[in-house]
Amino acid sequence: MDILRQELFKKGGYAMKDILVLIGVILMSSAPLVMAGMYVHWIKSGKIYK
Amino acid sequence: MTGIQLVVVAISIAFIGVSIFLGTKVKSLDDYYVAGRNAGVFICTGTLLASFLSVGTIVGQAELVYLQGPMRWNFIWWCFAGFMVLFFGPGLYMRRQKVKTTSEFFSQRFDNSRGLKVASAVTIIIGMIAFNVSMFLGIGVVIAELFQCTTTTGILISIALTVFIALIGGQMSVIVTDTIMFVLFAITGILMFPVLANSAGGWANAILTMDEVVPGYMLTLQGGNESISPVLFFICNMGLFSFFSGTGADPRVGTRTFVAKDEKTVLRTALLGSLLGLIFIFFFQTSVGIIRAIAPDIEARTAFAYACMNLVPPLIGSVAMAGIIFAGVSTATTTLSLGAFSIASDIIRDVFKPDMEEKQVMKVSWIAILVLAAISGGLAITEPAVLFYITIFGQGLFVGTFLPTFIAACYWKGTTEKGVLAGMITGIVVYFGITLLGQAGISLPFGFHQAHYTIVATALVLFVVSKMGKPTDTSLEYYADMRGISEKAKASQVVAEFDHGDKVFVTAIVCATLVLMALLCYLFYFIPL
Repeated sequence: MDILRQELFKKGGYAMKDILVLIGVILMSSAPLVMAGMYVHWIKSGKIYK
Repeated sequence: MTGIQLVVVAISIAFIGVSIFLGTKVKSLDDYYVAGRNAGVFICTGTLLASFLSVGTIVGQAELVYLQGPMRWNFIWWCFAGFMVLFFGPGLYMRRQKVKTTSEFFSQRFDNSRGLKVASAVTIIIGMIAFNVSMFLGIGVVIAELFQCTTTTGILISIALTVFIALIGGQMSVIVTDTIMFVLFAITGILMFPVLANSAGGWANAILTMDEVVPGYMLTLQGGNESISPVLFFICNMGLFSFFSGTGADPRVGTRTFVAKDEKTVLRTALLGSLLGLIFIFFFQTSVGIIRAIAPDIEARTAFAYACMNLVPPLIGSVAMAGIIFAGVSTATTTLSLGAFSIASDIIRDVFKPDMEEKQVMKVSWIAILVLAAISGGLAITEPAVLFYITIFGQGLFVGTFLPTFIAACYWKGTTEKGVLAGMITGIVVYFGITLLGQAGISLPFGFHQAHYTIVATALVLFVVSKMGKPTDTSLEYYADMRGISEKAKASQVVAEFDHGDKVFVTAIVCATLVLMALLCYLFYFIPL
């Protein structure tokens, strides 16, 4: 990991676009969390039938 | 015959055996079309992911990931958020109304409209032919790589396998074999990641090696390739396209809700499918990137097959190869069956011969399967375009025509039959019109995929024509039943409770997602450093 870190910083380290991508990746991988919230909400609000 | 070939042949025989056995369980049209509506979460999720990802991803997307670097392709993950729109909306409503096909839904929603049934069936048939071309070509490439034969021979073998299973099994066989093959492939595909990273000298070294082979390949969004479209455009174009495909505009995805045993199963499938899909795609795309670092000069579309045969232990490689082939075969079976169902049930029976018996419908389905396989197979042999683009051609047609019409049919009670019909016909005409213009070298402003322009045209026409008329009482009644807001629906259904099983399920999904997010941050950004 240290080698990679050095290489990254040799190339200028993390740029703003990398941070934006990180935020994008986190947002996109959070789809199941949003869906879990909707799951609880829909069942509790009586919209789902047996 | 090599060890890998032997294992693949053995798994193939087992696969065919399972299909024959499940084929004997088919007793009625409901069994054949929707597997008796008795599938649980695990089976529904397996068949959903196998149908949605399949060869289009494993061979087609891998080709582009290999050439362009994995980072930009991470934005395709939007597609899994699309499941939310589908399974908490149109998918749930279609299942509630117990329809057998997408065309049947449109027809029932608007006073048993024959015109809508035919228009949606024709769209499905055209789209499914495009899918089958890509499936046959993808499986053909993998079989050719495995047995060192020509791609044409591989395509012919894939057609024979697909037709055989489609004829004997029906949906019961499709969903079970889909799930088995996807599980096999997903496990071996994920196992390949550490093995490949190890071959490249560890994960950190793998990233550096990738960057040495092609500067910027792993560490930049452009993948070191300035000649391809900018990332922001790619996100708006392909990212959004994938999201729309996941929303159920694609009947391969939408119809997976029909087989679920109850409504909670539909919702749970969305959650589990999005999580497992994310995990699979992450490992898969990164593995393809590492393959480029280890083997930079192979043919891009054979990248994953090459890795299975040369870069990982034979057992993992052979199971993954069998998984790729049969995930493709079972998806091709699904698409072939859906197209054939539409011909037999939605067009021939409902339009021309309403007195047809169940057995006759099934027989016509079988003939339609043979005809569609011959057309798709013939086109696949000509290798008309890059595999990934053939796959998204079919998806694009569905996205352009079905997405606005589904949304309107499910959420806007002012939608009329004429509005949806005009929208659908406009969608088909605009989609093919733009495609033909593209072939003639004329591109539209901004250069987006033709599906995006088609969505706008379909939605506009649907809205204007619907506004010019009024929905009938029957269609309003159907709308209220479907949404569960009518007195009849409230009286005849039992509301599901949020029980202990739900608590456990939701907690497990949330924990697993957080672990995945932490893993992504660690692997890509080395946080904490």
